[in-house]
Amino acid sequence: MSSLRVPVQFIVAVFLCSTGMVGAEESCRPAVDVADSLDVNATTDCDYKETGLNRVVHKLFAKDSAKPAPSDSLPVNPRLADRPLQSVSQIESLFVADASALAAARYELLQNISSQCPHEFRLTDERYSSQGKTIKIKLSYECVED
Amino acid sequence: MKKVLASVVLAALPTTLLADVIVYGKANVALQHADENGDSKMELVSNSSRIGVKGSEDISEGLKAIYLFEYQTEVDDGDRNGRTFNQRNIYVGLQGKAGTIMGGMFDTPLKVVQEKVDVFNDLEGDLGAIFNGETRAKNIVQYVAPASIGPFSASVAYIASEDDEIDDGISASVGYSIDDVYFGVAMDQDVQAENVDMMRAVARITIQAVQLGALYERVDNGVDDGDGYLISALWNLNPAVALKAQYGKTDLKYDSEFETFAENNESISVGADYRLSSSTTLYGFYTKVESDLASVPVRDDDYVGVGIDFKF
Repeated sequence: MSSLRVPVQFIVAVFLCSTGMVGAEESCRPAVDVADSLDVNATTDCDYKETGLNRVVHKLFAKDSAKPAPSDSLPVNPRLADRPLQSVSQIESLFVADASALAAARYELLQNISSQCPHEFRLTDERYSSQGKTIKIKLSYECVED
Repeated sequence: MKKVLASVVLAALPTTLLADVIVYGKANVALQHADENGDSKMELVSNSSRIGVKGSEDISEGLKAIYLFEYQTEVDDGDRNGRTFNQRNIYVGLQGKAGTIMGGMFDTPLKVVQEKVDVFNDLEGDLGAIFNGETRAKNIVQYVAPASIGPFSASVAYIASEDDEIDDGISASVGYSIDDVYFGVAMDQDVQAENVDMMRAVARITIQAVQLGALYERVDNGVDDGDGYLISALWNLNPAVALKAQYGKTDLKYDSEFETFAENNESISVGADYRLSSSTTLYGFYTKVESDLASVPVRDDDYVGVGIDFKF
């Protein structure tokens, strides 16, 4: 029975390809390839916590640790001083290695912040640190209530 | 099923580690026709399918613990040597500004130095079919130089034989990688077996859509010595389709079944990959492998197959 699955998948895939439903090339290597290289210095090219199986795992097991920790006090923009602020928090990515991964990582961070701030948020600080050829992003933000 | 496995593995980890855990793996199966010394059969094979977890935990400023646990599972029939899961690379270590020290059971620096040169990795055409040095060492302690040395990389490993009568092993490598070019050299001493020494040199260059690779290996088993080389090419016709070919030849290859060195080993493979996404690839291949023992052919094998490789 199991020997039939590969041909079926193959036929389905050929159909998908013939209809132009081929996935776009993505910048991040699969985590298994990074692990296979045993390169302990290539911490990771991407943040895998928000993709595929890892998204499910982290939601199931790491709810508490996923909440952003309060950061050091940061100056509040006077323009927003009259609007109630929930908190000032930080969120950071893993190290990223190239321009497209950097953009993708920053976008993922903003998505994560959006999920923490139901209405609006603003960035209060944006910092980068480097390790070798890789860069880590750290965003500080505050949620703003209407 | 993968979620269940991941849940089981992760449930064994302390909750504090979960924040930085990455679950990874791949399921790779091929339906292939195998003609091994005249015996033909159709078979579904699992090609190093695996699941693993890895991560890190900050200990103090500039110092963290790193870990990786990886197990192989047979997607085709669920059994290998009577077990559903078999240990692959596993390590735990400390990483700081001065580098990384790690211990466990994992691929030696000489094995890892091949980088991406083997374009038929994990399939019948894997360079391990005719080359020595594809060692996943037990009782290995390794130092890895920090990323701060720029485009260079360096590793040195000590492999304890845990036997007074058998010499301990040493494996070391240095590499240089910048943009689309990679060079690496490595040596093993008493790693694959006592009195078996080897060195390996690797080069890879990517010119636009074409990746070219070459590997040279020299082996001295204390009685005989021999050379081996491999050349590979991968041509990305477009983001979805890649054509690839590989040829290798070695004078000596340790045969664990006969516990001696096979001679005149040769392997040639051609194939094509069709990437549906960064995680899913369909592939097809043809591979031929030949080996002699005392001038008697012990491998005259042909394989042709199609498969799917899903990575996460």
